[in-house]
Amino acid sequence: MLEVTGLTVAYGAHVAVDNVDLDAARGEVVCVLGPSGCGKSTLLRAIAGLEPPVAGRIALGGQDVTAARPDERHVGLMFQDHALFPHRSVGENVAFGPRMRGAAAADIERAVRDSLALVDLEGFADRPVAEISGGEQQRVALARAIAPRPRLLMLDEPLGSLDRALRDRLLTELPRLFAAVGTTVLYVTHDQEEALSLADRVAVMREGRFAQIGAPEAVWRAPADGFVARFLGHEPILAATVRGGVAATALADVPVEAADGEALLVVLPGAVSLAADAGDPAGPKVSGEVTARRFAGDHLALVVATDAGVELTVGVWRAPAPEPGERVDLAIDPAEVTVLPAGDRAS
Amino acid sequence: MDGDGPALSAPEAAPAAPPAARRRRWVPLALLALPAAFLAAFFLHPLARIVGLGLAPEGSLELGVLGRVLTDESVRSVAWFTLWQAVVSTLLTLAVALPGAYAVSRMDFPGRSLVRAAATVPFVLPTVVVGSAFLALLGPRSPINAALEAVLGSGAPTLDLRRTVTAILIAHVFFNYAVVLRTVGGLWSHLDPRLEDAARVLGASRWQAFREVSLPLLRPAIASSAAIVFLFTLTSFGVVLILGGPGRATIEVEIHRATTQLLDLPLASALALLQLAAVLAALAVYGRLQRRATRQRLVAAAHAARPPTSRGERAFLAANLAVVALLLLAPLLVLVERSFAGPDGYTLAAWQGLFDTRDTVLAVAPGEAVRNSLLFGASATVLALLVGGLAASAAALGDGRASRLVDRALMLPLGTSAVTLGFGFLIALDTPPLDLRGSPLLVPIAQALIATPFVVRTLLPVLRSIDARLREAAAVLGARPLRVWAEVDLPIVGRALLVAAGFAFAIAVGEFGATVFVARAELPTMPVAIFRLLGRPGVANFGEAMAMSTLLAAITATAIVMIDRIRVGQIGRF
Repeated sequence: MLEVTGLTVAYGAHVAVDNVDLDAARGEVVCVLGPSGCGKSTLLRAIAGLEPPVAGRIALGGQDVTAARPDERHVGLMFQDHALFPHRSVGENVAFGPRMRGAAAADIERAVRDSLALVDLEGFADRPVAEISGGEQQRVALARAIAPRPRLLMLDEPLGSLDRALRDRLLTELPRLFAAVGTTVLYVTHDQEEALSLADRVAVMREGRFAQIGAPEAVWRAPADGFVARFLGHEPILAATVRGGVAATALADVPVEAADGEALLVVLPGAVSLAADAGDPAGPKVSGEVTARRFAGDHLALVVATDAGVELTVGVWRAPAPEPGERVDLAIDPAEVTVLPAGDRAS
Repeated sequence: MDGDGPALSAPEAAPAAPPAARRRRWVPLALLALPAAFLAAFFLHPLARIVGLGLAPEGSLELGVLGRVLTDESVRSVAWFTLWQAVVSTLLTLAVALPGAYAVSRMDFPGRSLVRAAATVPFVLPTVVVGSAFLALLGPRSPINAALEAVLGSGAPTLDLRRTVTAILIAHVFFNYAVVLRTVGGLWSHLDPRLEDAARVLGASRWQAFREVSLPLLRPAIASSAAIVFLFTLTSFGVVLILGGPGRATIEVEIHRATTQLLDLPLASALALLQLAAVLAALAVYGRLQRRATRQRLVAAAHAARPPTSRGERAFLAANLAVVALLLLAPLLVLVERSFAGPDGYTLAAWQGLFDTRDTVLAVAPGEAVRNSLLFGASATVLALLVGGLAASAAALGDGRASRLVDRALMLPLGTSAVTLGFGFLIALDTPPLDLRGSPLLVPIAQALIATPFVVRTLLPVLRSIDARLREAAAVLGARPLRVWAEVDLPIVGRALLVAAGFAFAIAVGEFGATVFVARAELPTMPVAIFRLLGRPGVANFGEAMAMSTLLAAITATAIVMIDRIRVGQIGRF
């Protein structure tokens, strides 16, 4: 459906998108995940035709649109902060796309009704956009983007400005909505939780290039490099020397399946547990002192300063949990670590 | 040590009443005493005299004069001309300046802020200077004709647009270009560009995106700038007086003629009433437009402008820069050039003539007018700062209703035309206790009256913006009320005061409509001197008028440039 090859977008000397390849199959949901300023919004704007590329090719449905005007591409783009037309009502905003495409009055009316129904805003058509809440504006922006039935729907940080409860609800509603619309989706976010839970495939972006593209679970369990691992929130990431199936690190010696040599050992969340709770009693053990406790509702997060000088965070799901100052023994599950080639620890 | 706290710092205050509350009640009123007296004596009183003379010339109500004036054929043709030239000037200004507003606010190119500043210069020029500049540009000896002759030979047709409507219309576009550029461009540069992007992605062409999204959002700014231009051209005096001819008079010019040539004061009064009604109607429309604006989120100007990418965009930008250069800069350059032009090549004769006492046109050497203008301008500035500063302080202290009232009351002189004010001075301030007939004081008073609204408009937003908690913090930290004012209010308002002073001075120095009525023959100001010099035949007089105009343009431009350097934020806009 979408094929992007060698796309480069530059503002003067600053290269925002650097020789990027990306494709998406019909109906697929691809999430572009990256920190702010990594070029992910520029990528969307270029695909929409709002930024002229310096080099590369963009094709939609097998048809080269690199030189096409935005209004000729028939894509949907939901802007960050929505960009709703402030002088028009909810219904007029949603009707804009079908109207520009020359739809008949009855079809426009149906498109508005259907789109508003999809986002749960029946009866909002006559409300001025300035008088609805942020969450409602967000839904109107989505309805406006899908109303003309675009072949590609792009969303730029759509949940960025919402409070947590609303965001969580929409996170569960969006997959249903994407399925109902049946369109290909390109979703840009800096939030790994959004990306991992929505995407068929995740593309992690860094300084204008893709660091890794893959299925969410694969990216999560096997980050391509230290940057991806860190961006996903994995810690600690330790320098390791692998010899004969054992990675020697400052923390402990961990059995791994990797070739000999210098490497990085990524400790995934869930790898560390209290020794008493450990499922695999054969795994490596470390000791340390609890320095802080954070209550997170369903569990307690303990921060432990190990004797090896590495700080670990451990989740505890049963009471009573150790108090700060207490010494604890921890187990590391070798199945929950992953080894990366060394060399980019600093990045 | 003053450790006794606020209760003992004001021992006269009755202990039962909270001091802040009772202070709040009488302070604004006390501050308003002087502005109110000033407005009553020098605005309401003259206005009442005009109404009296217009409606009851012999002391008893008699609508005959007004009726005669309103049905008079020549007055009707003057009113008709005033109206249509204002409408056409407004439409022309919009047609020329709207593309310019787009170029300056939405396109990023080197020298953008310089172009915007240059385009603003004409607006601050005195009307007399604008008149002289176009007299030089559109007259028979202009560079346009020199160019025509160079290309076509000696048989070339001579372009002479003096005393034509065309000249008036072009001068009005020149003068008001900046109003549209600043008002519409100011909003345009903050309009979220993603709104048009959204429309484009949804299938709108470039033109549709503009028509459906930007145009409706800009409409209030376009309408209010059109209303301002209409008001300015409706009350146009200096430009029409200099560039117009027989049958090319606005109501303003007719008031002047009725007073100085026909000596028919009842006629002038009736015309002034007619003018007043027209201005009030225009102001009412303007006020109504200001209240209707779509609430929208604005973005930083830096995000809205993009460099031109396509060939069409670059051509559009070039065309608008050419307009700025040709329409706005050419007249000023020609003005300067003419001031050095002599029968055989360039000479300093006109400039030397300014300080020559042989002059017969003015009772004094033209150079004296420079001194008069600076003195009158400085006095008017002090007066306007005093009156406007007190009024703005009172408005800022008082509640919303009081502050709106002050704002409106002080805007009245702005709405009333300068000629009406000058005429009112002439007929009202000649009887005790306010017998100022022939007094040189009348000039700075009239100029201050016209400058005061600008002072209030500049100071009031700044005074209002001072966070009350800053004063409270200073008070809690131990500052007495006067000290609070000196430590908090004054430093913040200081810059705004300088800006207001620059505005007031530029307005006072360039003021013509009212000054021409009240300036004494032997104490002419620069605009009056320019007008008199232009009224005389001879190359020498014309050259001196050009030199004087150049000097006056330089003085006002300097004042305005200094304002722009110290201006903070958005203060001092319309």
